[in-house]
Amino acid sequence: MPLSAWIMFLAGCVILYGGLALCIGIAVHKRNKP
Amino acid sequence: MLRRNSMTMTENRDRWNSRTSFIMAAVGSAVGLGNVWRFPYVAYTSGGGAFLIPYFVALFTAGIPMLILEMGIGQRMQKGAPLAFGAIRKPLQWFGWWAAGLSAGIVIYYSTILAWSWVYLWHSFTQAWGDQPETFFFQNVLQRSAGPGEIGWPVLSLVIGMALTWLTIYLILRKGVRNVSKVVMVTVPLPLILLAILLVRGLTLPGAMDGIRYYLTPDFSKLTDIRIWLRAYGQIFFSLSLASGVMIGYGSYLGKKAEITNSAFITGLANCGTSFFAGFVVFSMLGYLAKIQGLPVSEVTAGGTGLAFIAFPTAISQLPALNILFGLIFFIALLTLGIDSAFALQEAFTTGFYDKWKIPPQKLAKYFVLIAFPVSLIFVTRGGYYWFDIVDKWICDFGLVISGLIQCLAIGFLYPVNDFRDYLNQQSEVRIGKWWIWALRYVTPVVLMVILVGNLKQEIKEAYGGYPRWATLIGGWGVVLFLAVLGYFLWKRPEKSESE
Repeated sequence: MPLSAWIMFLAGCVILYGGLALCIGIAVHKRNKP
Repeated sequence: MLRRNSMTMTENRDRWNSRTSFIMAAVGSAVGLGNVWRFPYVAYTSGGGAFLIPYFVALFTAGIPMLILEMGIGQRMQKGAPLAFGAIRKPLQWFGWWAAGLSAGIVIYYSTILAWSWVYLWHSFTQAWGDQPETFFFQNVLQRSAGPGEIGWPVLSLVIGMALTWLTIYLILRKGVRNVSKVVMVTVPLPLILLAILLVRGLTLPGAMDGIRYYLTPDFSKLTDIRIWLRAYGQIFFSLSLASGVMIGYGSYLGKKAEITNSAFITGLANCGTSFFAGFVVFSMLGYLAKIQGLPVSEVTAGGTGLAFIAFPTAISQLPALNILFGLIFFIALLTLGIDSAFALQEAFTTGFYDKWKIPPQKLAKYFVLIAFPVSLIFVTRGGYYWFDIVDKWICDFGLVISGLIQCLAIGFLYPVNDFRDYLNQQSEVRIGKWWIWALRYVTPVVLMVILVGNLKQEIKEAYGGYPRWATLIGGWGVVLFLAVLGYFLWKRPEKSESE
């Protein structure tokens, strides 16, 4: 697979799954805050 | 007195069991068959990996802002789309009923795909499609006639599939959103697990990486084509169940202090993450199919029904082992993906009846299914495929686009949107800036207007799908206008007060 395809793969993963993990993290953190 | 009544209504309103249930239901509604059969194909034909750029721009400038708007307006008003819009300006209740009517229209024809999936689930035990999956789909399953003028009788196996679909929807909705809260805990993660199993199987097959290469290799030259950008906005817009009142209805079952913006971000990202993920499942299997048939991947690539009921069954029958199991996994995944979207669409319509005439959810679920089931049988007749195609085209390409446009303009310019933003920021985990208002007032309406004009020009130039004009007038414009007339009558019928 060409390098450009790998870069797009990584960009997709970081934005979508990284973003999702960040939002879920914020929700959990705020819920647990006293 | 009026205020007390209104407070009682709000307090008595059905509620989600938890915030997780709400997010799961919203994700379940957004994630549907389109994520599996539309996104990978659109991405592949629109620049491969490069399509992710306009796709993400569309997600953050239109998709998530619209999700925040819809969930927020439902939660703030504590009403489904018809009465929520009616509270902004009285005549907008008509629009609200029309938008909710579109969701009723969608669930009636969308149930057809679920009926096909039930029939394919049954045929998975024998891999009945053999080596002629296209002939099997059109001639054996659909028994398709020569054109929309030859309707014929409903096909018995599809009627059974349709009955199972409506029975499932009824059983889920008969006890209101509390029951939905429990159901989505299974129906949302289950298809993801099943797709993950298919992905593992797909990636371990010869040729899989060739398929993935086709899916992801970027063609950046396509980014200069405005149509690719419009396609990205269209994909985001339809994929997130926007403009049909679904998210407004779901938002209305949140408590008065519920969080909105972060939930909208989670829903949007989870939906697009599922699409991206599904692309690997689809293209690994297509890569394998191309390898064993000795064809280039581009020759076996398909989207829509062609992918789900022709290309995928072909790949499944040619797996080295456990074909029946993988067939079952695929069609159960399709059914569970579709059912969440189906009951969400029904709920969007029936919520308005609860709000306005206090009809309990149990009765609404029953009445809707009793009316919708016979109507949906038109789509499982021998000519039903053509009608399904026409109604789908008009509701999505014209109905939902017009609805989204009116919704953005109504909230953006007729509603105190700055005050609304403050309200959302007060109780949400992620604060939204002025960009949100710009997205609602300008970006989304302009894009939707361009899409609408493009669709209209295309339709005037040549009749969609080569269908006769009378068919598109009845099944296309006729359905959209009928829903507008229905919306007018529902708007004009007097509301039942709490004391009655």
